[in-house]
Amino acid sequence: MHEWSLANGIVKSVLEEKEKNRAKAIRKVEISVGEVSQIDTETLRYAIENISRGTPMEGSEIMIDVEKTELRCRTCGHIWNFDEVKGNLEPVGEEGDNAVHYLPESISIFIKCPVCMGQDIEILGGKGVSIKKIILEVED
Amino acid sequence: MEILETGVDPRDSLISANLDRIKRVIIFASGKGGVGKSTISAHTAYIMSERYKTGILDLDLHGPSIPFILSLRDYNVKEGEKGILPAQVDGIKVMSLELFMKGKGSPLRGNNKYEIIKELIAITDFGDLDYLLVDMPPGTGDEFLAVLEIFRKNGEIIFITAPSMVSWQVTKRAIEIARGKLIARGVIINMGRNESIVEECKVMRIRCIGSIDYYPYIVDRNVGELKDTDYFRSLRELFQPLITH
Ligand SMILES: [Zn+2]
Repeated sequence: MHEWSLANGIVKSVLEEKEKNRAKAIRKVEISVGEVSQIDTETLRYAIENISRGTPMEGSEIMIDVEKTELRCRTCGHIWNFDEVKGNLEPVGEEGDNAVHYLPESISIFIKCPVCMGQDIEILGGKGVSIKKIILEVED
Repeated sequence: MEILETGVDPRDSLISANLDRIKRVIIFASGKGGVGKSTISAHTAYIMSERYKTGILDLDLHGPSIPFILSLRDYNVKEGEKGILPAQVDGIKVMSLELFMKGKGSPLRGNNKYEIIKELIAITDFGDLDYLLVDMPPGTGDEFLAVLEIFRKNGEIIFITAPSMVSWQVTKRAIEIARGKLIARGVIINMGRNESIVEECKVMRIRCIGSIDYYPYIVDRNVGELKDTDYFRSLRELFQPLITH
């Protein structure tokens, strides 16, 4: 569960953007979470609200969208959903999380194509955590 | 009232917060493989850790070897409040993709390597360090370019070459690519001497830090067994002028 450190990065970036643009207020923050990163969105939201308390981000609308992840085998072209294989990922962390939770783009190290067993796998759709949009109120 | 919309990568602010707590970043690079770069960077980390808070970041994503050289085994990823905690061995903080992949192969393409490197630096909490040494894979591909970008503010780079002109001619290309992007500390000739390389360093206006002889006994030995050898003494001598603040 590294939701708290991600939340730290999100709040810090949003506040930096506000400063950079000399904005008056932060109206809304839209966050996208790739399914492959297996982020607990409730924890992420709680952490963001907690960390932003007492900052200009307190009370801003937070939208968190989970983006589905599909995987494509570059060897045979097979496409499948991440849900089908996430149970096969071995835990590496003390808290039982797998490596893909921390490093989404490392997935080809840990899984094989169910059809040809190939490992040249491409991620289609959601990967890690990104801030898609920050809506700021700027003085005229 | 005007509305402004913008998007950002939250990892960028995590990276800058992490790097703000590290006094110096020294990157070990080479043109070709097999020149002893990982061995030198791991052993240098060991020497530095005797007096300074030192970490090492292994960015050889296809052939990570720092955990093996430092005899680091059975690590489980641990989390602190500010991110993943690096493994610790002999007082050195270690982060490597190997801590996650544990002996598996890594079939990774270009952009995914860039993302993994960015992610590793964003989520690893090295804490306050005097030195972070970075072990690079050979060559000037994705990993090298990612490092030029991420450490461009004040990263320092040392190039390791074997004494052969074959190794050197590839190292020269890496030196040119990094020029103006990182602070070049110099060149180390490993496993022998070569006066032509020393001369060419002058022409290229890069310092030749020195050379390390070939010591066959260092292969597969653990650091503890090596610390009183001639090899370690020459390494200490070489790095002494570089590690004083
Ligand atoms: Zn396939």
